[in-house]
Amino acid sequence: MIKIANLKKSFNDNHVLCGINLEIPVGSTTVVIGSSGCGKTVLLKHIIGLMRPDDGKVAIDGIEISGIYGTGLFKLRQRMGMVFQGSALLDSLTVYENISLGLREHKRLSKSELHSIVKEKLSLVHLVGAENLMPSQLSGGMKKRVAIARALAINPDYILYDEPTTALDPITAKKIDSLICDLQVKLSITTIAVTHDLVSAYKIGNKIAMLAEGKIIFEGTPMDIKKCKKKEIQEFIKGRIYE
Amino acid sequence: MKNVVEYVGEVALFIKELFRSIPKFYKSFGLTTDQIILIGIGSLPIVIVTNFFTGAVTAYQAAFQGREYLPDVYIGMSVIKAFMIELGPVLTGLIVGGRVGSAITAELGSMRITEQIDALETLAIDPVRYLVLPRVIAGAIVLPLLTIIAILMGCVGGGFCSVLLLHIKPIIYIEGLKLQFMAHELWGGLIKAFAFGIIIALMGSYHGFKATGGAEGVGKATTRAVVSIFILIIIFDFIIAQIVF
Repeated sequence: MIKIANLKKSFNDNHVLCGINLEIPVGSTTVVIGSSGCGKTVLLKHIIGLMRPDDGKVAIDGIEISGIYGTGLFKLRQRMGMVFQGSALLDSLTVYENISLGLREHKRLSKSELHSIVKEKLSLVHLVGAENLMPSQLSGGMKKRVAIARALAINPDYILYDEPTTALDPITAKKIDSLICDLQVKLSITTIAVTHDLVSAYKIGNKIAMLAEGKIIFEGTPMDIKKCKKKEIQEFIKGRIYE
Repeated sequence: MKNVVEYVGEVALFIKELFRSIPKFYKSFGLTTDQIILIGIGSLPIVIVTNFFTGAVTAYQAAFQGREYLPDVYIGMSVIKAFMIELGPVLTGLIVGGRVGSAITAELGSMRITEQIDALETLAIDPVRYLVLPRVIAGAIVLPLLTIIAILMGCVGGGFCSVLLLHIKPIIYIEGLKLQFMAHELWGGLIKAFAFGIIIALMGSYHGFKATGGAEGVGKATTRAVVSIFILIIIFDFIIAQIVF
């Protein structure tokens, strides 16, 4: 389980996270929603230890990620995978090399073992045959799939998605949503996604948390949020401003 | 002043990270050989051309300044001396610094702003060990090798100029080269080149890692990298010369 307690982060005078408290249950999908620039990605980067909090803590299965460095941090990260908003594939490597990168670094596997793992992950994301393509030859949706395959390659306990459907057309976005749901069911992997795409959030989320003005202002199921009467939540989910 | 102190502190921390990654160098062996080829082979044509003509102009200037009252053997002597202790390493450092230092910053800067470096971290891969260490080691190996080629090409260029334009007998030019060839001076030049190789890769990587704010940020980082590389090469040229010669 991931526990976030009183997490605070500021950039100069810009207070982005002002005391976040959130629990992410194991084996389900938690979606953090919120408007653009509200700090969703900053929260995600704290969960995987790419950023250090000013105050508060993030604990992964009881281990405080903000308190560990070096080898300890890398070991913990081997249990996590992250899919970046822009996919962040290494553009000098092929699809095969991108997916196998983590495995080659951390595990002693033969070429045939590596090949079969990459093939298995590519089939999970419906991209068999793309092994030798370069990232520049892929569409936005394909890049996203390769990024998911790369994150899954080390069989992580947790997978983090940063805006998984941003900049994708509605059909491709729907396919990526379905893929995230399928993978969660097939692999029973604990999933955390941040998005401002409500269609996506309703589809993939078992739990939804809303982030606004640096705090979590709502936690519940997709059904609960639709029923919630809070003004700022209604404004966000209906896309209207109530005076 | 605060900015300078901050800058020096950040570079020092970056160097500390680099040292910390050295024990796992064995994982980056393949990447290092790739960088050696990329930096070395890629820089070879420009190093050859630049040093050939600089050698020629050195011989011409030596003749212009002293031919009336010094023997012709003096031309070969001045070419080899200038190239071994100064022109070979410094010219190579500046050329490779401009070419490779900017390329490293642009590449790593683009990786930084497209979150590829963050992606490496999330894959539990130390980006300094994966990206910086191979470049620094490659720089340290390649620059002395390129400097040897630079010295050689300087002498060849000087020879062409001496024989074809100044009408000096080849044997006299070669005699001059032999007279002033001193092994400790060659070693001194190579030590300079070794330091310049580290400076180029280190500063190129540092500025790439610190790039922010999109394409404009990468452009600014590249400019800063090249300026810092050139300044450090000149400063370290002076320091090493004081220690070695």
